[in-house]
Amino acid sequence: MAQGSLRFSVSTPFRDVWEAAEQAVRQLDGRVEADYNGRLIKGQVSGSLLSSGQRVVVTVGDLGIQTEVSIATETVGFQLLDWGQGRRIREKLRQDLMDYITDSPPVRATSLAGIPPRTGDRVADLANAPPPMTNPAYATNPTIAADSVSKFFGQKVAVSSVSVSFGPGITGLLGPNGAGKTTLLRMLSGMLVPSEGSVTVLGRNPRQDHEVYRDVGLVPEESSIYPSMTGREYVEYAATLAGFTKPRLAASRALHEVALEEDADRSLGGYSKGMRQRAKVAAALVHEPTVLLLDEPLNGTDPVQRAHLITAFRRLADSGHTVIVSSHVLQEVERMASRVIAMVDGRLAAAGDIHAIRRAMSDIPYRVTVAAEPARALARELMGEESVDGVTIAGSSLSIETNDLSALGTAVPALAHQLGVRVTGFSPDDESLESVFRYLVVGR
Amino acid sequence: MTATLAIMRVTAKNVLGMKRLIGFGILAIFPAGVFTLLARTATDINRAEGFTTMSMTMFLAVIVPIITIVVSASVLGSERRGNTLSFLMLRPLSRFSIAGAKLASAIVASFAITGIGAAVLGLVGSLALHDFGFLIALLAATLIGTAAYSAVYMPLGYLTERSTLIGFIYIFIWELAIAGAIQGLSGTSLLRIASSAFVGLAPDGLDIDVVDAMLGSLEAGAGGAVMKVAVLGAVSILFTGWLLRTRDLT
Repeated sequence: MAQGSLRFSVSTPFRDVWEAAEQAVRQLDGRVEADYNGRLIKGQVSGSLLSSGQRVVVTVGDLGIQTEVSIATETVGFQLLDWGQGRRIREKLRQDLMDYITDSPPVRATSLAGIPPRTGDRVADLANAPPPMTNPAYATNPTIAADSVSKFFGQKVAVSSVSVSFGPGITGLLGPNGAGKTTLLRMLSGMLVPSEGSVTVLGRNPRQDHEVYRDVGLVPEESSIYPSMTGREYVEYAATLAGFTKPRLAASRALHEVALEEDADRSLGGYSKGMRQRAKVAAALVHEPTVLLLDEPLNGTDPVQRAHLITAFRRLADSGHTVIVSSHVLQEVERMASRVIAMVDGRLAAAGDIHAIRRAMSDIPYRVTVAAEPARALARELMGEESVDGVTIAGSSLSIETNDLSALGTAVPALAHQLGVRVTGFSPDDESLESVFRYLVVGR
Repeated sequence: MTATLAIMRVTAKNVLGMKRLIGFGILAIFPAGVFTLLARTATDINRAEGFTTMSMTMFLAVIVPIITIVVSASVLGSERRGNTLSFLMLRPLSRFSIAGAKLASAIVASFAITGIGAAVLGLVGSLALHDFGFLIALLAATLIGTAAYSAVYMPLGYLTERSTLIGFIYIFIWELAIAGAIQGLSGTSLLRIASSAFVGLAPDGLDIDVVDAMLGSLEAGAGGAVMKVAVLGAVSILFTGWLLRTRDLT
């Protein structure tokens, strides 16, 4: 390990690695030394190392000098090559970081404000310094944040010490059923009181300050409709409660947004599940909230409605709204969100760019169910595909294990067309997704 | 329309379904029907006794509490069970104003039924006893009783799904049996708040024995009853608002 400086450039969606990296940076606190005209001075690091990353403020107490120092020499990075190797690399990386914390000498820096460096000194280059290390669980401009929140229902721990923040754009809250997504969303919206920790929405506590709901909209997972009302009355009621003086106008706008105008004067009790979902979305959008929390918003919607809603959510995100979408369907989130927070068993498992998580997860075979007639012919041809690891036939249903979902998605229709096979269904198995998520946690 | 009025309108519509309106409507006018049958052949003294009995021991003591408890308990309880609580609560409205709007809804919706019963019974009673003061007294006492029960059972309906059962136990075991038997407990009885207002407002002519049996140690008078109900209402709003602020909204 080179003496002089340490450069952390850890890019990982996995919580255990970023926690180790944060711990390493935290350990630097008070250990920065500066060489001032041949005199070694121990500096104190002030401010939050976690947020300032490599750029830390060093205050040299006895000289009254304060300067910024870039701590940089060694890059620690990793990439998951395959799942097994990725897991080993993660463990090694974590161990390396821990070793560094234990063994490394104090970091030295020689750039003090207004003082020219001596020949041979390593000068921190602040202008070209790498971007600060950021915890991927935290958004750059957070509008809504949870700080170490936990929720217990009796003996059951639904959410355990989750710290996360969300900013403008769409963030997917991903995880298998029972992962704690709904509980976290309910705490973020103020529906549930955290057993531990705190939640802030636009800097305010939603449990204490009801005015925050002028800027928050929630689409809950459960029904939450009044069956005797029409769709229009329902959305108008939401607008009236939000303080609109012309609720009918606002309701029409929101109903148009979710393409429900034609059926707006029908009773909600007679709506299909997809239409109810859209009515709920319209009621959540009617007051044009800055923060929109959506719990499984696409449940029960058909492909056309789904596409319409996704477009609407994207439009909101593009105009600077914070949109949080919870879903247990990876593909659904993938279509909407660039940033993902993954939860398993009530804990944060991974966060960050969806492609990084997606890459890591694609190393575990996906299980896909394909309904085809005749199934056997398709199965035989699929076995020759590189992307297919195995096929099981059960009647007219094929259970396919694949290492490349998108390649399989291309291969199936092409082969079906070639063989004259009729494909009536193609659905990634959620069990497979759940097992991947579990692996994220168990493999730590 | 303001948010408060909108909450009241939607709540009343939700808790007063057609089946409930018809069922409770028949229940509410039942004492008037019984009294009409009795009054046809009775003397004036018997009519007074019959009207007092029907008003105090049947209508105010049983019918008004049953209807009000069921309606009031569902004002917040149905929102909770129907998963619409988040729709209502995640709005820029103070929890206390929501609680106030819900209590007003409970009183209005309950009185829409109990008031009809009171009007019909009061009307036939007034005709039989030749004084429309009985009609006014019964309407006022019914409103006071409805408000008192609403104030207690609206938050209880939010807290537990068994509020109606608790309410019936309260009526038949506590109010009619225990508080009726032990004079010192009359003050804890919501029914007696309404009864004291009725006796205080009604013209002379009520049956004294029935009145004494119902009021126990309580003084008759509408002023005290109104004060008690006002306090109960304020406590109910504060307590419900506090519950909505501190408890999980599921």
